Amino acid sequence: MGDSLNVQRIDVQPTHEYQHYKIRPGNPYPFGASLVPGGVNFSVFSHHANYCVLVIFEKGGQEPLVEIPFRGMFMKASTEEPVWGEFRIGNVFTMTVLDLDHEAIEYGFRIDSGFPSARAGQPAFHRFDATKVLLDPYTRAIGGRDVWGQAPNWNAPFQHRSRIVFDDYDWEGDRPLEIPLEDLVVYEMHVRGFTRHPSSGIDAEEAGTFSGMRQKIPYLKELGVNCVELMPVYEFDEFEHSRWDEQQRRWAKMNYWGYSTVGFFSPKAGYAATGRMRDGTMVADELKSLVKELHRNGIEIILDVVFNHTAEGNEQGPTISYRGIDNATYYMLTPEGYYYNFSGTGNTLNCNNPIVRDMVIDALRYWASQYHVDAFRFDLASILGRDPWGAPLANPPLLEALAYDPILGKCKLIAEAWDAGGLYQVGSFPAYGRWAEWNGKYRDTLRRFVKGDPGETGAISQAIQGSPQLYQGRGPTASVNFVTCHDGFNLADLVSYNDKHNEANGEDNRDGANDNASWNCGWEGPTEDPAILALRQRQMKNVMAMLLVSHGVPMILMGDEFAQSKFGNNNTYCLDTEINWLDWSLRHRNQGYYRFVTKMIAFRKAHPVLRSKDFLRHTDYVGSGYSDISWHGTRAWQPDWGGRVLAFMLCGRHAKGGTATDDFIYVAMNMYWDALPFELPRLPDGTRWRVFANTSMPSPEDVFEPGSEPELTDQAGCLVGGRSVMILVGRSALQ
Amino acid sequence: MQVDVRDDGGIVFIEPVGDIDGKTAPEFQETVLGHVQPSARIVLNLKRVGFLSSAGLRAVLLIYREAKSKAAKVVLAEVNKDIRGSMSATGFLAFFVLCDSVQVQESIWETA
Repeated sequence: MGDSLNVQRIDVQPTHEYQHYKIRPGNPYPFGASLVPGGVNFSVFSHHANYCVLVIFEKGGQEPLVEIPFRGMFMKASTEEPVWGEFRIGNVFTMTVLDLDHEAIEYGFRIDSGFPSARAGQPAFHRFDATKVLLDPYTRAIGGRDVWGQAPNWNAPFQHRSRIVFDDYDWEGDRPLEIPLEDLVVYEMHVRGFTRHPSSGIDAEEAGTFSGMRQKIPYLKELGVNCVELMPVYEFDEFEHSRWDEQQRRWAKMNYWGYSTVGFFSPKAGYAATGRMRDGTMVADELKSLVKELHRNGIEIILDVVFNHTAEGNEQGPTISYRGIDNATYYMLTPEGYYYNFSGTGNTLNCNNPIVRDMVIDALRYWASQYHVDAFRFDLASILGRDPWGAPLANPPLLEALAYDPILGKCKLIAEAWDAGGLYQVGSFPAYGRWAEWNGKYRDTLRRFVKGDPGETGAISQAIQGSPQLYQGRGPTASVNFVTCHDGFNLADLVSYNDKHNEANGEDNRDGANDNASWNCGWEGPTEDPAILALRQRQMKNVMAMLLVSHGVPMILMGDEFAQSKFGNNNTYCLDTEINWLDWSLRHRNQGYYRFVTKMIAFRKAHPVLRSKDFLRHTDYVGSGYSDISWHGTRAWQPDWGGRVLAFMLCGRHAKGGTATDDFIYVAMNMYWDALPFELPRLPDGTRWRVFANTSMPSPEDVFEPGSEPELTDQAGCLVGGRSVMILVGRSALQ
Repeated sequence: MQVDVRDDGGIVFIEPVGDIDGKTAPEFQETVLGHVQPSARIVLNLKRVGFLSSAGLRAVLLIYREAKSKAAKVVLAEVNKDIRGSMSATGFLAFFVLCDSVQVQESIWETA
């Protein structure tokens, strides 16, 4: 028995030699570079290439150690006898190189074809260029941008360098958490921005890294979120479209957000404290260690993935990988050979080409299985539903395949259900019973209601319920509710600016959205006026209160929990400055507001009646005497659907579809500018109204510990301040 | 690679010299494993190791695991700042007990 477990493979001996490198035919699958007994297996696809060379460098070296062709004359192994060889199966070039010190090397490919070469700037279907060394599309680690912001040698011909990774890791029993979607509270964040600011207290060498973030997990626990959504962590080039400011002696502009993928299988080395070790496995280990620790603390991880385009840009763009490997396969091209630009960034990945589709699926499977990632949020996901010529598909193969994929079977899939080509699919994204959406309509509705636009009560009632008008048949978990995200104003600016102020981006304030549904509360930008400051803080509390009592999946933007401003900039994609770095000192300076946010999150987690996976039915199906949700105005049971005021009551006996028991919850939202008396719905005998939150009150009377709320003096009615939200809990007097 | 070994009063002091990486890790691992006897106490002194690659980290972890399986104990001593930083960032540090000096206090063995 024991011997049979140790049977030696018979395919570890070389068949050929090339310049003293021992090689043998490889395995086409898996694509990329894989450690196999005795060596490294290389495998790369190209449909239109007729020639491929494996180029191996010493790590960091500029001149190759060797260039091994996949077809040509070799030496028969252990002889001096020349022999013809071709290492290709179908359209896949594959060979195993034996005795390689995989830690000490980097590699790429040269690929050529019989097609005429394309000129930069000109349209073309094929862009093969054998003078370029190409990044492996399946590489699991990438060198060249190992330390964030450390300028590379711009003259080096091979900028983004494939590395080889040990995929082993001691997970100590960890596995994805599989928290039900309806129970998530998501925190959208940027890895570097989270701990880069000196106020984070993280050592300089680990500030802005996965390791730095891991050290701050106790903070995430304190805040109460149970899911982090990381803005892109796939390898990207922070120097893409960068601009150096000679006067300030710093980078005025960088690709800070990272929505421009270089490699879909590789973590961003510059986000790893170990990046400087130039060891791809260490970078992978560091991210895995972060995931394991998040899971230990009950926090899931969503990756914001960018499959709609790559960093190679348009006809003028650099050749990094895909365009040199098989341009016509990887990209959507016009009949003339120009790049379609549904992403707004120059090119569009050809997601419904079968090869590219497989690559996307392979990448996601890799992150789910090797990194234990719990969920994915797809940037400009509508592109994933377009055919190779850009037409929206009724039944997009990629979206369907992802929905039914066995390895991704328990991963949450979240779409940004629009693209830059004008396709807007919020509420109509092909879901296959799996996909959720960033609900942009929720954002717009809540913003308009909070700033006092009249006639929004009907829309807000839908938003509060998880947007059944959009997601009937799918349930409220199809709706990721947010008011702010990385795109657009953050919360402090939403209540401090009427207009964007993006001058720092160096584009004459032309970039960024113009329609923000924001209101500055009477003064544009910073002010010392205490009345305006108080109103702004109240408005932020109103937003947080509504967001966290809405059905669906709430998402909070990093920094909004303690009201960090970006000074009116609603498009900070390019700023690696304090404007984007979380200023931890605000947690104490705005502690009253921060306390309100943490209590609101705790309130949501304490009340299952707020977290149903099914839509409310507006009936009493448990015999409690109350329907699951009822609508009210300043008079109980009489909502005013045309004004600025709305109240609702949830009956706790209907929590989780009647399978859980909870309190009554009553929420009065008065977005009128004056205080108004609200008549309260009468509770069953023995049940009393208690005040959980009242945004018109100063801290700490604005919010109470869930479970220890003070009883309301007048059980028949309450006065709700102007532009304020009041949340009551109806519980038995004995409790 | 050079690995100095000395047995001093029931404690085995193992001191590798040079980088432990993909090239040297297998030899280092094999040498050290030869000294992991049941109930042994081993001080792995990394004073003269300048760099520990991911292969090196794995070798050290495998040694630690082998020691555990034999009820032996391993502590790491004199680990330089860079290696400690890498071990911390990658999560490997959590598996080990570290000492600043090879003069390991008796109480340390209880936690190893």
